[in-house]
Amino acid sequence: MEAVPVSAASPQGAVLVEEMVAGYGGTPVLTGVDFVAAPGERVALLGPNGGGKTTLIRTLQGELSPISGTFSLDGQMGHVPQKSTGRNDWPVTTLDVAICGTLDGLPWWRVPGKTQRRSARQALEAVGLGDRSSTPYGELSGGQQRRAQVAAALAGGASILLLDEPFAGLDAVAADRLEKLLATLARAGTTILIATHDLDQAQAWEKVLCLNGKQLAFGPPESVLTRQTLEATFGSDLLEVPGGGFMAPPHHHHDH
Amino acid sequence: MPAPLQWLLDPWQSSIVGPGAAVTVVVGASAAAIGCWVLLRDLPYAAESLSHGMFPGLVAASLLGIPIAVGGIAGLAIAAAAITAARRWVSPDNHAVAVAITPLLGLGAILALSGPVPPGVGDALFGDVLAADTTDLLTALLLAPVLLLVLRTAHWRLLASGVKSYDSSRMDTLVICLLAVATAMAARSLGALLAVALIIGPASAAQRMTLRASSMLWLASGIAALSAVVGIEVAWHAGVAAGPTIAICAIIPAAATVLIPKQTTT
Repeated sequence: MEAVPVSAASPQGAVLVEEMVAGYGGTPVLTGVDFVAAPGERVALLGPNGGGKTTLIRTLQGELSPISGTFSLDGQMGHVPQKSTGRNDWPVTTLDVAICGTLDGLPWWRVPGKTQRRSARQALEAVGLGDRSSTPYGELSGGQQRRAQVAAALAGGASILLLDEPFAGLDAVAADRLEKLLATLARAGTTILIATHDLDQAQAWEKVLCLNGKQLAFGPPESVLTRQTLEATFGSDLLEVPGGGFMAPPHHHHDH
Repeated sequence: MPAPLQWLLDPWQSSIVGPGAAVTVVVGASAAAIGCWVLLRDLPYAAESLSHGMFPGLVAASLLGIPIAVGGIAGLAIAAAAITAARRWVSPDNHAVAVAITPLLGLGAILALSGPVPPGVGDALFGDVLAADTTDLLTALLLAPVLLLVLRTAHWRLLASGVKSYDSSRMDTLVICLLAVATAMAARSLGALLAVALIIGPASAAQRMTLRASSMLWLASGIAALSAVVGIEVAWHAGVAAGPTIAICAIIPAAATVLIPKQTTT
């Protein structure tokens, strides 16, 4: 679990977004996005359903073009989707999934060879799944599938990770293990952007980006996670918990 | 030679069986490999419909007096293009296939009913295994490796398409194009309508028997090749048409595997 991750050799990832407006078919969904994520930083993307988190992720992935403004990535981006596939009978092993992560770096006529297999095995070791390489992917638990997806991104040489609700549906043990993996990767220089609803976790990360149709705040958690900002982000859905803390409303998957 | 062995070898001593059997084995093995991806990408309805889509091409070729095969290939190309285009605008996919193929089938029916049934259409729809000659065999031996090479090259990208939304639409287009070529190849032996059995049947059986993609492809190809041999053997001794018999033999393993639990994970 604590093995040196694959991306440690080139931990130069960084994300620079400037005055970006993003949306679908020319209709803005998210405006005024402007932030910098330095190498080794974990950035929590906070916002309600439909607040623009997925739009931001799809734009940074290159699936959507910014309507205006710019962004640049100093490093290879790896995306870890919230849900990889709805089919547990898809005929792949855990190693296959990690190898699939190397395809973006290959021309279309090349098939993964020894180099890609080695990268995939190293990545599986890095995420603590070295002993599950021949296990059918559908037999992995939710947390293990999430880590296998991280391994796929690392095998592809990602130094910037974009995770969409990676803790959704995980039990406490699996969530803790994934949390430790992300901390290890961040220490090795990987930049990690994480869409989440968990304010406690966001508190432990280096930066927080609050979105609700526009960028509301960006900065260290102690300056961003205030009652005022959280109310602007989540509105009346924000839950106050005994002891003075807050809890974001439960997640429901949304396309925006 | 023992009598039972002699009985088994009887069909293979006829000069008309060899080329047809070889063509069906080669074409069946490659078509079944493509069939695996047709099933995995949830495109069996497209596979079934594609053969219907080639109908107007067959009839038009017959009416125009050009080779039926040319009409069939043109019909398949148009059907594949129509399905691919319709999937961009109509969802779910099955609706898109219906929207694309129903007019083509209707057009074929109008052409066919506009006069006497054009000659050669029956063979094109239901095939004639024993009519295959050396040219058919050479064509199969040239095309099958090309198909398998394309599958080999695209294998990891096809796998990735199920792990994440990697080029999903492009992978479906690729599978539909390969399917069109496989249907055109298999139609010579089994006919356009029965070719689907050789494409889907063995793949369906293989899918129930393994959770590894490469194993599934090998198994499906093996089952298809065996179905061709067994089908010809049965047809010879039963005195029935070889094409439909091979089609039934290709489906039997899939039907039999229903009795064993599908290889699924929790």
